[in-house]
Order: sequence, then structure tokens, then C-alpha cells
Amino acid sequence: MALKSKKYPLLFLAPALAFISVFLLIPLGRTIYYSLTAWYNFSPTKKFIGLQNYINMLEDPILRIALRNTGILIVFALIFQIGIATLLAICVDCVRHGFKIFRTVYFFPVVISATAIGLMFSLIYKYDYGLLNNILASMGRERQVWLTARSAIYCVAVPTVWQHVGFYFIVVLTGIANISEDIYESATLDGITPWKKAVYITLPMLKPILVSNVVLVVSQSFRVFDMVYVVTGGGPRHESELLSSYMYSKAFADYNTGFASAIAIVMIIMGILLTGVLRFLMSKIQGDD
Amino acid sequence: MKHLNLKRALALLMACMMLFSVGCSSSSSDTTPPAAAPADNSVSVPAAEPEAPKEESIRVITYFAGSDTWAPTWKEVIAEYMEEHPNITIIDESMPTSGTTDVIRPKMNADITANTPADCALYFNGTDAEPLYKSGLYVTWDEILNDDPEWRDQFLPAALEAGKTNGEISNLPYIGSFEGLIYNQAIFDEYDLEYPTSWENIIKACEVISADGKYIPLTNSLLRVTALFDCILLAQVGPEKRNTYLDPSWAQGVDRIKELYDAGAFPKDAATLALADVRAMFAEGKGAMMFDGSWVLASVEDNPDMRMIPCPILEGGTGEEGAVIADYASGWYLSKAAYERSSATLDFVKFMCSPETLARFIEVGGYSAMQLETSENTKPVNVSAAEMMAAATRMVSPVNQSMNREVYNSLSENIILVCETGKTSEELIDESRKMLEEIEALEE
Repeated sequence: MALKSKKYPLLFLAPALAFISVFLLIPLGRTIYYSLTAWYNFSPTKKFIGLQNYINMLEDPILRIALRNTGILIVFALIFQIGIATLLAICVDCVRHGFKIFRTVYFFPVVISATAIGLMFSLIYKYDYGLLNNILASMGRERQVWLTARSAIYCVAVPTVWQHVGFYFIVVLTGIANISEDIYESATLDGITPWKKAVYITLPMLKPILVSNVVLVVSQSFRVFDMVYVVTGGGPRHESELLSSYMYSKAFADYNTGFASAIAIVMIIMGILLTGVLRFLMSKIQGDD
Repeated sequence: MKHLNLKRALALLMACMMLFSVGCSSSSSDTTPPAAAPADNSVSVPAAEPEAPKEESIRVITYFAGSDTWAPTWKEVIAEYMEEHPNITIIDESMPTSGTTDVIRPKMNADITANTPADCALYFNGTDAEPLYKSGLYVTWDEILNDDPEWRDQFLPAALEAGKTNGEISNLPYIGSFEGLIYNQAIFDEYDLEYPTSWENIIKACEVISADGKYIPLTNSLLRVTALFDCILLAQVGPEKRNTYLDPSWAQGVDRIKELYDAGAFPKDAATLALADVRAMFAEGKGAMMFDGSWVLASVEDNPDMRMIPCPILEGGTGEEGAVIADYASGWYLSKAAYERSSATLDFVKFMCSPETLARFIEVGGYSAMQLETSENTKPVNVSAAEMMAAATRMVSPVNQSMNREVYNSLSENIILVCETGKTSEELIDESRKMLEEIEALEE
């Protein structure tokens, strides 16, 4: 009887479930299987090797670098994407004229493809004819190598943050717009300064939105690939590799698809765990309030 | 009741629309039925109209895309072919191949895995040919060539030999390539330096030019070292040891690259420069030398000061005079599905593999797999390259042609560790050998 009453919802859901099964669940299952095999050169034959690919990952120094860099990118994005977006949103909310211009300008990078942005920044970083070195040369200073082993990951993080800060800016701005004006009016009557207004009223009222943004930033940072591919190619000396770029190079440059599948599975597990932990922590923070 | 029927109909309609939106592609071939034959009776009937040529689409993949030297020629050739054959549509799925932006290999391998090979492809041989051969999706050319001896005899025997996999001709080689040292005479003259015909001259040029800072001595990338390592390795260890993969003597070749690095040869940001970047720098006249292949000659041929020579033999090594890196690295593949469907794809491949068409590509660069007449308007760099090949006594294929890709990539990407960190060349070669042994053990 209960099932009969749900037949129309099930009927409507069936195509979407079929779509998800074909394009998500089945490929996921196959990727898990491939990660347990030695599969080279896209050969028709695969040899089952159990967990050997995962054991090899533990001994792979480049994978450790990729893990470290993915962590750096996540932290960088959390601090600067959400931080700058919140700051910009609070400032723009105070502006009476040109509000729409600011909104458009800050959101503009979001609609540009990551590949185009990556190409632009790779030209900016170039030693011989890059914009940064041309500025230095015009000031009479020596040209620098910007993409070094230590700085490469940060040089990738900058355009990544630049591209996405506009999206979170819009989200936070919308959140600020939904805060009741009465609160601000009564605070203004009490003689509150703009700084205290932002810290004691705006930010606490934005907490649910900031919590959602944290989860979004983490999942989005895991998916960064095109930026590092275009700007540094994972170099120099693999020092700017991310899990995503390393997985791609293992699959499509080295033709070691078994190992690449293992990296993909590890990325999925890490993403789920990280998102779960963050949600738990954020709900604790919100619960304490 | 009427309301319930309407709900059911709407639900069914929406479900059908969602399933439809998952998508189905139309087939690549579209044939029109031939005209009907006239009936056989005593009354004379007008002669049957000639059969209209079948409309057909041919999916082709080549690496003539992006900034590839031959891409403009390819576009012209297929446009002309479609004009001459209005019933044929060439669906050009060409993808670029250039170092880290190699897209054609993932594309081909994905198509093979999905059992949807292109009708024909100009693709690599060597280790890259193995997935195609093992898939069973492509024809072998032996029988087809034997059926058309006139066409077969136009190919150079060495070229057909290069297209073999497991003793069968799996692809028809097309444009051969070679690697060597390309240098800009004008820059050497500017600094009053001897041309790089010996290793000492190369090192001295690197030291002098890098000290001045106006030019880059050697515009090669260290992100992934390819032609640079190939040429120096052959000049250092000779063909026999070069063909013994990861022989301990290979460490000497890596040490020579470190020697160049210490002499200030490379661009400051060589560790992150892509191949396209260094080639652009050299073509713009910013570099004195570059180790690269015949595929870049078209971009420098307008500069009358450019020359190409083999890497000079290195003292203390076992290099062999006259040995050059050269191979027919790619050839034409024909899918079984297209071959069995109609003769259209084979006709197209025969058109491409004709001396007239191939000559147009060779004018741009490379050397022919077929017998061609030589052109009179050859630029100086191509003349010097032709002289290099004419003087060659032994052709050795590039390392990446037959070495395991993962091991080769690891080796070429980690040469920079020897240059910039404390890693030794022996450690690098040992690690690569161990990696190769592990992979071979897993593949058994």
C-alpha cells in the first residue's frame, strides 16, 4: 500500500536513478576494480594484484608531495577565498553608488574558463617576457624566477583563489542582504562603529552561510586540475603536483591506469571524510551558539 | 478517473523525455539506397542511371592540430578532397601532441577502450601501436598492399619495415622524423664563437652566451627532457648501449646534461617551460641552440642562419659517427569496421599516401616514407638537415618509441633532480631500471 502510493514519485525518479547508475555508480564500481589491477597501456587484459597499488602509493614520494600540496591549496582557499569574499561583501554592502558595477566586476572571473585564467597567469609568471618581470625590469630590479620548487604551489593557488572569490562574494553578499535592517538601525542608534558592526553583527549572522562556504571550498579545491596543468604542468620537479594532476599524468601520460584508479579512489574517500569532519565541526560551532 | 489517466499520461511522457535526454548519437554513416535496376522484358527500356555515389562520413584522427607544423597543409588537403568527392564528409577529430599537452594519445586510447575507433588515424607506432594492435580493431596492411602492388612499390622498404608490429604491417608510415642540434649561426658569429660541431664548442658557447645574458644558449625545457636526452645519449654511448635500455652507461648521458646546466645553458625557468614555449623562443631568435626534431624546422626555416647537425660525438664515450636519431614514428591505421563498411576510407588513405599528397607535407618538414622527387626551393636549414640524413650511416629510433612510457616519463622528468639536487645520475638510472623491472614483473 505504501509502495503503491509512492509509485508516481518512483516513476519520476527512475530515469534520474538510471542516469546516475550508468554515469556514476557503474564507473565508480569499475574504478574500484581497476584500482586492484595492474593495467598498463589501456591493454584489454588486466592482472589482479589486490592492494598492491595502494601499497605502492604509500612509498611514492610524488604522491606525498601531491597530498601536501592539496592540503596547502585547501587551506589557502579557505583563508583567502572566504576571507576576501567576506571582506569585499561587507565593503560593497556599505557602498551606495556603483553597487552593481562592483558586483559584476568581482563576479567576472567566475565565468572565465580556468584554462584561460591559467594561461594568463602562466604568461604573467614567465621569466623572459612575463608581466611581473617586466614590471621589475622597468623599476631597475633583477628578474626573478617565480615558479620555483617552493613557490610553485602558491603561484597556482593565487589564480585559483582569484577565479572563485567572486562566487563566494555573491553568496556572502546575498547573506548580508538578508540580515534585518532593524538590527543595524538599533545598533547605529547605540553608536556602533562600522568595524564593530561587521564583527559583532554581520559575521555572527553570516555563520550558516560561511559554514556552507567552507564545505564548498574544500570540495572545489579537491577538483582543481586545469589550473595546475596549464600554469606549471606539475613542475618544477613535481613540486606543484596535486592529487588530480598526478592522477591524470599517471593515467594518460604514463598509461598506468591501475595506479591512477587507486589515486582516484583515495581522493573520493578523502573528500568524503574531510567533508564529513568539517560538517561535524561546523555543526558543533553552530550548536554552541 | 479521467484525472488519474491524465496524471499517468503526463508521468509517462516526462519519464520518456528524461530517458531521451540521456542522449543517443546518430550513426556516422548515412547511405542512400541505389537506384533500382530496370525490369527485364522484350520492350526496350532506357539504360539504368548510374548508381549515385553513397554519402559517407569518415572519422579521421591525426596529430595535425593546434600549432602542429603540418596542420595548415592537412586542412587544405581534406578540404580539397571533400570538394572532389562531394559525397564524402571528413569528420576531422585531430588532436595536438606536444609534450605535456599531448591529447591525441588519451583520445585514441579512450576510443579503443570504448570500442569506437576512428575510421582511420595517423598515429604513432612503437609502444603506442601495441594497444591498437592488441585491440584487434584495426586491419593489418600486408594483404591490402599485396592486392595493389603498384601502390605498395611507392613506399620505401625501410618505411614499411618501420610500420610492423609482431611481424605484420600494422600502420603505413607517412612522415619520418629525425632529431639533432639546431643552431643559429648569426648568434655564434656575433660572439665570434666556433659553431657547435664539438662538445667543447657547445660548452664554451653556453658559458659565453649565458654570461652576457642577451640570448639563451640552449632553449630546451627541463620539465620533461626528450630530444635533448635522446641526442646526447646516442652521441655519448653509441647505438648498441643506447638500445640496451637503462644500461649503467646511460648515466654518462645524464651527466652531460648536468654539465650543460652548470654551464648556464638553459633558460632560468626551464623547469616549468613547456615545449611550445621553448620552441617559440628559439623561433623568435632568442636562443642560440636547441636539441629538437624535424617537426620544428618549418617554424625556423625562414631564418637563413639556421642549421641542423647531429649532436657531436662526446669524448670518452662510445658514440658512433654517422648515427642519428631518426624514425618513421607514425603511420596510417585503418579500422576494420570502416574497411568492411565500404572502400571510401581506404580510398581516402590511398589519396593521403600518394606521392603528390605526401610531397605537400614534406615541403613543410620531415622526410618521406614514399619515393618523391626533391624540391628546388629548399631552405638552408632543410638543406643542412638533408645533408645530415644523407651522411647518416645508422638510424636509431627515439627512446620513447619502444621504452615503457611510465619509466621513460619518470626518467625524463627526473633528470632535473640530477641538475638541481644532490641526486646522482647513477641513482636515477638505477631507480628507473628498478621501476622497469617491477612493471615487467607485474605484466607477466
